Amino acid sequence: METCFVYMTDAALEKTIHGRYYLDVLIVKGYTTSPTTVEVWNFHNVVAKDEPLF
Amino acid sequence: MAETATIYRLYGSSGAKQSLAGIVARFCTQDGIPGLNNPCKIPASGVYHSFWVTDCLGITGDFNQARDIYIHGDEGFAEDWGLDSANGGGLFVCVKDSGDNGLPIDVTLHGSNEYAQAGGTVGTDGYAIDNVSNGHPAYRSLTTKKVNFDTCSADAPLLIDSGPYTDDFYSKAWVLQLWTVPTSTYGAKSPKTVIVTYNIF
Repeated sequence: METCFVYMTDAALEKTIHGRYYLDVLIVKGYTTSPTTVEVWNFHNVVAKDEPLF
Repeated sequence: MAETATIYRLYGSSGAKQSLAGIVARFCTQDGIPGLNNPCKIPASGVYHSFWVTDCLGITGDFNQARDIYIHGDEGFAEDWGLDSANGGGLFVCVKDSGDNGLPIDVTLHGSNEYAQAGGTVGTDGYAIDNVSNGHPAYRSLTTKKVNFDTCSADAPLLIDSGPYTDDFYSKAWVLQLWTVPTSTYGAKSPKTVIVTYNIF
């Protein structure tokens, strides 16, 4: 996870940094009229263990 | 010397900055960190939109100059998340007609603050970023307004902020929104990365 990262920079040498952060989404079948058919997923089951969760 | 770079997401009426350090930033249908609340939904017809998100880069520490801030992905958001780009689904990012595509969010740093809080029907559908009446005010009147983020590749990254900055700063922000269509695939989607590139010395 590199959302927050620290780099050492040489003041005399310009360099290009490639950082990254992570996006995800939970999509449900929103068109159903009955609340019982809306599926909510547990991210603890699908996100790698080293991925921070909300 | 060292600099620390952090990605922030702006929320609320004032655009308060929430650090995304250690967080997988989730698209949803509310303005705020959702957890499992208010997920995105698949419409019976037409398009549903996540609430738009406003993200920026912040750098602190020792450096002489930072500039040329770009973002790009792996060209696979729609495919990997089952959004069905052929029928209008996808991950979209706001663009300007010329110059930096990023959103000014700080009068001192950027000359203006054009942040706009995300809105819509909580739990169902956000305002489309390109809607002429309630889309994002900084982009909705422009010519192009948005592009599919899957077109922002390593070979053609999207220029957010040309800078330069010589002291601690927040960059201009990029505005993203997820669109779902009836043929999008529901479920929990695996995290994907946005690459943020900048030059610094």
